[in-house]
Amino acid sequence: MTAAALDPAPPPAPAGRARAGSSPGRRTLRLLLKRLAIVPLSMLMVVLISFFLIALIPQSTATAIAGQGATTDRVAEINAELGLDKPLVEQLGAYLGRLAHGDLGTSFYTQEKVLPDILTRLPATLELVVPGLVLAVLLGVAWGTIGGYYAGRAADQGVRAVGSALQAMPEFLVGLLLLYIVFYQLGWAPAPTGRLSIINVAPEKVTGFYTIDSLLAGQTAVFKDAVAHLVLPVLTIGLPLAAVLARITRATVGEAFSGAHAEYARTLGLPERQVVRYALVDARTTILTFVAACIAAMVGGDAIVEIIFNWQGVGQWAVNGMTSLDPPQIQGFVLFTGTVTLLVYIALDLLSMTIDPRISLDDH
Amino acid sequence: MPASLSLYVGSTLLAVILLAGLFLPLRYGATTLDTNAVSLPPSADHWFGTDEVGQDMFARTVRAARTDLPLAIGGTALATVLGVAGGLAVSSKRRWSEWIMRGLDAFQSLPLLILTIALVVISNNNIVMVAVAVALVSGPFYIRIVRSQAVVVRESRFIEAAITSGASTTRVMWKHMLPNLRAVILAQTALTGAVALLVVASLSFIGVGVVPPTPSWGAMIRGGAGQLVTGQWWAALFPGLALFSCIISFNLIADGLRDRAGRRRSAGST
Amino acid sequence: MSIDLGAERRSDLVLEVEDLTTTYHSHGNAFEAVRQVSFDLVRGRRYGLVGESGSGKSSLIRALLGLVRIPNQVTATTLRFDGRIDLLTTPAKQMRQIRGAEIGYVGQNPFGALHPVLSVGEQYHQFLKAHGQSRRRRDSLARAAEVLAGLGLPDPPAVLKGHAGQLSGGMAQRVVLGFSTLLQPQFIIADEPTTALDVTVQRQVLDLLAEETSGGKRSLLLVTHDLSVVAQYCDDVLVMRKGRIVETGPVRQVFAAPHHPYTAALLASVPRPGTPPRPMTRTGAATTGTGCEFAPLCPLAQENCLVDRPLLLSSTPGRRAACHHMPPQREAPRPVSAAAGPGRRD
Repeated sequence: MTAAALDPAPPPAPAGRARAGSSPGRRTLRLLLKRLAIVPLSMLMVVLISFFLIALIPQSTATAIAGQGATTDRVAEINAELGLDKPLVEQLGAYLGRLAHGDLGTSFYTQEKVLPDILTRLPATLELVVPGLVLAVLLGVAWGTIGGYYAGRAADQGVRAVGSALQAMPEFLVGLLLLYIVFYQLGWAPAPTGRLSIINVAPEKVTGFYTIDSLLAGQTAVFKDAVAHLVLPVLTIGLPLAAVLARITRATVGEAFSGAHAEYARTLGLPERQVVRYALVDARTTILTFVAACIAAMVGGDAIVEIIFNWQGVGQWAVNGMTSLDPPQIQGFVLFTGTVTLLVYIALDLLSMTIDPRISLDDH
Repeated sequence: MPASLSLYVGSTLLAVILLAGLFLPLRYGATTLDTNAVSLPPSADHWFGTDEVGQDMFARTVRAARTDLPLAIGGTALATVLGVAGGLAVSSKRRWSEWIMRGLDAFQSLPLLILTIALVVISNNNIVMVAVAVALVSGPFYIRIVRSQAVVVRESRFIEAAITSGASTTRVMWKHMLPNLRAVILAQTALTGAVALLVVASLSFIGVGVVPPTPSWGAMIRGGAGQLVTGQWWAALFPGLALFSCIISFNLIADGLRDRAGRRRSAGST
Repeated sequence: MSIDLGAERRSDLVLEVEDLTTTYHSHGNAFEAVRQVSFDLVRGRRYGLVGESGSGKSSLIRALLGLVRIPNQVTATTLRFDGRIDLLTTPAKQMRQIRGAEIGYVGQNPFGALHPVLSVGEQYHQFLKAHGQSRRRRDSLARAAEVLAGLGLPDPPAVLKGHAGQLSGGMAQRVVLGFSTLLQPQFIIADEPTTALDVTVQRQVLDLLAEETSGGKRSLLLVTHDLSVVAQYCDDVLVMRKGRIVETGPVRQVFAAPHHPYTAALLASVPRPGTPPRPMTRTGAATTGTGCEFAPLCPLAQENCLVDRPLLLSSTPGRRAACHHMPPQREAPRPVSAAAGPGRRD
């Protein structure tokens, strides 16, 4: 959801010139270690944030849970139940101790463990978010490349107009528009009843992905139904993200196209296909950074899309936790998404280092 | 679109929507229920139709600007203060500014928009917290943008000259840094406006912040969503269009400001 | 050697250009970067193209290479390569086969030219593949290594494995030189090939370029604003100003006794020990737009110069100049020996 808030960061500075004699391998290794060294620190920071989020505002949390007009006894009771009446250090110790055992806490309302709660909903969210991201990347990069290639011409301007319109559409508008046109008017898509039509029963759980499980169980009808239910929400996630990625791709690839090395590739008589490839290879690190940002934004599921299509994934679950102020659920969700986001960025760092020699040259 | 045109179109559209929300006299009240006029399609009487409890959608769509836009603008102002002050503060090459940036990384790895739901709920749906939520979501981006530009300006000769000639830090910031960051700040503020409106609308779509009967676009779209699948398109469409127009206005203003500042990439110039 | 171009046999010409104009369009404005330029290049000779920045040198080069793209346009009555190929009407696909294979190109900044991410070897492989010269990477690398070794690069396999950012300026420009000579083109265009390099390696690169174009089979068009480089490395010189060629001829003769006052002024502005450079000064005259564009700066300008633009005409055999005050009526402004630097080679 926050993807629309992304703005292009300054592109990597031009490569510094190192002599051929120095070893790029060792430089990469040193940079790698430097990046990895921050990971435990960042992890600790996420843990602390998730803890203090609740611990520092105990009174209001308990009051809010108890509701207006609750007795002070009830508030105290809730504080005791959540352990918020103990000294802060003791609370932190207990929290860290639980985390060490992989226990993210227990929901205040449902008495369900938070981590299994997340994990059972994760396949639903992944089944939705992964195709959405794939669509966004394929469409966005192709779209931005066409725009960058025909920069300033009619094709580019058309592509940009569609892009800025799409970027000004909140996800829920895109989703509802699709629902109205494709479901209500055209009748091509099923009703937004979640992952399956009401008449279909979920296939036996193996992976948790309905598309895969239905095939494993040999239920083609269920498989078709699951895919049909995926189309609109996947488009709702993919199209706005594609517009964001297209804008970034257009800027970076457009720059690469007008740049000296694309021009040189042409003086060498390389076919346009290769010139496009050269520009894309040049721009790919920047594009990748934004793809990672999009992935990170989707780690906790896409709450709004899940709500519109009644998907019952992690995002919808998280929103319920937030609106009902379930402290362990909030903490668990923050910790989970924070950790996965960190992992995504580390993966990005490592990948960038291996595919882009400029990065290890830049760092001194 | 040329820079001046997008600026003009964007700010006019936004001003019209805001002024209409504040001052346009309306035939129906925005929160007046009429059980005899439930879910009516657009007509000469009810231009935008009515919703399922018989409220006039035109009145609600227009009046929603009264709460949604000031909230977005207030949040943007907060984010701007945070972004400019924070961005300038961490633009120095000191070690602590590096640490703050790392902290920002960790902060931004949190599911901020979802967290702001809890923030608003804890405050018992205090709408001031919606503005705070906007600042929390968009402030970090703002800090990054200001910092990346401030670092460049700081490196330049005239700042060096000002520092060596003994100007105080505050003086350097106010007299030398800020004027040079003006273009970036203006464009980023407009862009933040769009994000802010998105946050305000998303929150009320989820059901926190501005909640019915107070009209707000996000909540109206949520309410209209249920009717959409049974064919009553108007209850979601008109607030959706209003929201879309405002966001695109902010984006147009941002584009115009950015182009005017000459940051336009001259791609394809041969 | 005869330089009266009209007297040469046609097949001896590697490039024939007549009335070439390049027009750039931007935001509704049209700008002619190159205006009605005509010249011929003889096979096996080295030409220096000089002029200030903005005189249209690079635009001319882009036009020759067929790299001016829509909405910008090139018009010419003749633009013939090798006496057989009309560069204006050749379809894009064949044009690609000519670029790189028949016309080599060396640009200003090798770091801008070479791809920052792909390995040098990969770029050589794509180049050879594009020209149907190699299918297998291993063959490409072997050929590239051979060429790089010939250009004096130490350890070519390592260079091919690495990427541009790991090379020094001189090494990178050698890699570019390798591209421009690998397929034995009969014509090499070098657009200020040393401006981005350290002074110490500039000469090495120019020497290599001279070596590659020695033997009378390959022509060179060397774009530069360094007159001493032209004096040292070129046979003939073309002087451009504001999109037009104002003077052409053998380097020695032109530098010894320029026929165009602009050439003379250029030569006079070269700093030399003991003599202060003479900057150009405005005379205050204004043209009507149809007159000679140099008139406002020209010490020789007269009434007719302000209204009537002189054409590029043969002044003495083998030389042309666009000036109403053609020699021999006029004396040379500088002594002969001063123009040519020491160590001049032929």
